[in-house]
This record gives sequence, C-alpha cells and structure tokens, in this order.
Amino acid sequence: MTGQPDPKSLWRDQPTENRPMTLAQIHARDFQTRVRRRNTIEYVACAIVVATFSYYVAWLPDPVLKLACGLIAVAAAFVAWQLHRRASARPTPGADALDFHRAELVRQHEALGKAWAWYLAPFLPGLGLFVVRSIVLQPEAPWPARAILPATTAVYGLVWVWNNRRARRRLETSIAEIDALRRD
Amino acid sequence: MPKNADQDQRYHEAAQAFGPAVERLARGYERDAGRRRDLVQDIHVALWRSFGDFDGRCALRTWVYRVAHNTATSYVLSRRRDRAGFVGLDEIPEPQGPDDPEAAVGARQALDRLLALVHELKPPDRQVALLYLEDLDAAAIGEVTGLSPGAVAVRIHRLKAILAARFHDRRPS
Repeated sequence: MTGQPDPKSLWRDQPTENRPMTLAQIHARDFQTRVRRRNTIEYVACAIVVATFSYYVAWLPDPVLKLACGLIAVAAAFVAWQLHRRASARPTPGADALDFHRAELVRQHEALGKAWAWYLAPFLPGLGLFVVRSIVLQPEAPWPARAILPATTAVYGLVWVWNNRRARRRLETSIAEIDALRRD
Repeated sequence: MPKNADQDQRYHEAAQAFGPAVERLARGYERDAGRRRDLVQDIHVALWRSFGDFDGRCALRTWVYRVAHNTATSYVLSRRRDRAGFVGLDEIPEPQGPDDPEAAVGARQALDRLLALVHELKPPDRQVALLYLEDLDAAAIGEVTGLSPGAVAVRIHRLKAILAARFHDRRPS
C-alpha cells in the first residue's frame, strides 16, 4: 500500500454540507410537490380539451355546435391560466417554512373556495349551449338521448362539490394543526 | 399517538440516525451542489411519506436505504443526459497502477476519484457500491437492493478489485 486512505473510511468521513430539514420544511415541500403534480395533470387535461374542441370547431358543420365547442376550448384555456395564477406550486424556502406552509394552505383553501367561479362556471356557457341544442333544436330525439348530457353534467357537478368540500376540510385541519403548534 | 404524529416521530428518528448517510448517498447520484440539495430534500420528503406506511417488518436501516436509493435512482434515471454514459462494474477496466500518481495524493483527490467511479455506474451497481462504502454486509445489501446473495457477492468482488487497483498500488515498483 502507498498510504492511500481506505475507500470506506474516505467515503464515511465526508463532511456534512446541508443542515437537516425541519418537519415544517418536509410538510411544506411535500404539499408543494402534491400541488405541482395535481396542476400538471390539470394543465395536460386543459391542453387536451383545448386541442380537441378547437379541432371540433374547425370540423363540425353546425354553427351552434361550433360555437359551443369554441366556448369550451376558451373555458379550458381560462381555467389553466386561473389555476396558474391562483394555485400554482411555489419553491419551499429554507427559513420560515411553517409560515410559508400555512400561507400556502390558506392560498389553496381560498382557491378551492372560489373554484366554482373560476373552475366550473367558465364551462357553463359551452355546456349550456350543448344542452339547449339537444333539448330545443332536436325535439324529435328520444328523451334519454336528450337527458344524457344534463344528467352527466349534474353527476359530475355533485362529485366535484363533494371532492371540493373534502379537500377544503383537509386544508382546514392542516391549518388548525399549525395554529395549535404555534400556541404550544 | 395519531398517525401523523407517529409518522413525524419515526421520520425524526430516521433523519437523526441516517441523515449523514442520506447526504453521502445523494453525493453518489448528483455532482452539482444545488441539484444535490434538492435531491437530499426529495429523499427526506419521500422518507417522511414512507413512514405513513412503515409496518416495522424490516429494519429501520433497510427501509431508509431502500426509500433513499429508490428516490435517487428514479431521479438519476429521469436525467436522460446522464443516463447514456452509465456502465456496469464488469465494464470498468482495472487500471494497472494509480491513474495519476500526482493526483492520487490527499484525501480530497482520492474522494473525487471515488465519486467519479461511483458516478459512472449503472443504478443497480451504484446501489451496491454505495451500500458497500457505507459498510453494509452482503446480506444487508441484498435486503436493500432486492438482489440475490450471489449477485451481490459478484458485484462486491468486482468492486473490491477495482477499488484495490485504484486506491492501493499493489504492484512492486
């Protein structure tokens, strides 16, 4: 041997370069990761809706359907923009992670609280036009065919309301836990 | 104890015991200091999450290394640019003597060379190499990586030969 250090000792004797993460940093980073993942899925879904309904605008012959599809495409683009503006993920800071995390929980809670206005309502004009067209302009169609779109929309709306409430309750619990920690 | 508090407590214990090992492991997967800091944080978050499901059926050390290596391996495989240059332990030639006798002096240079070797390796070989450097025995390495005892033994044998050739001048001058 030529006096070279043993590789295992060399490896294990390396100095530590990062400070350990606090639990607040862990919780904040985990939350932001989940927000980022959720938003990525939403952005992809919006992009698919915009591309598909834009294609229908160009392809469908009926002007009412063209207009309905155009409104849906615009709504999807608007929702993606609002999602980015109101509820995008943010990098977790090294310091004051607890304050940051609480503020982010409140921000997401507020975004969810108003989601009916920026996430659901934008689709109503386009969907409404589809429904009106199926009921008013096609009276000869059998009623199950005319009822399917309103019924699907209603079921989707109810599931959405239930999910939204559940998500808001979870956020409220997390905010309350942080407030309890601060009081201790 | 509520599930979240239990999860926090288990994570805290694991971070206390294995925090430095996680840092060293991240060094074996990422050269850049900024990206490495992110990787260390991702590993810690993955560890914290994993303790929501930890049922104690394996040792804490095994669990921590499994989660940490899986997270780091996913990270390194997601970086397509780096992935192209990986080799297996069996593809690394054993040098006939020290690579560069002048550069071989000093722990810093030796550590740099050790890291360079580790960064060349494909993920399964890299996992074995990093766990070997952490002084885990073959059985423990097999538990973490899921490799058979034979596969671990072959890799360790090969790794020892490469390390001996690179870090000890075995030949008489």
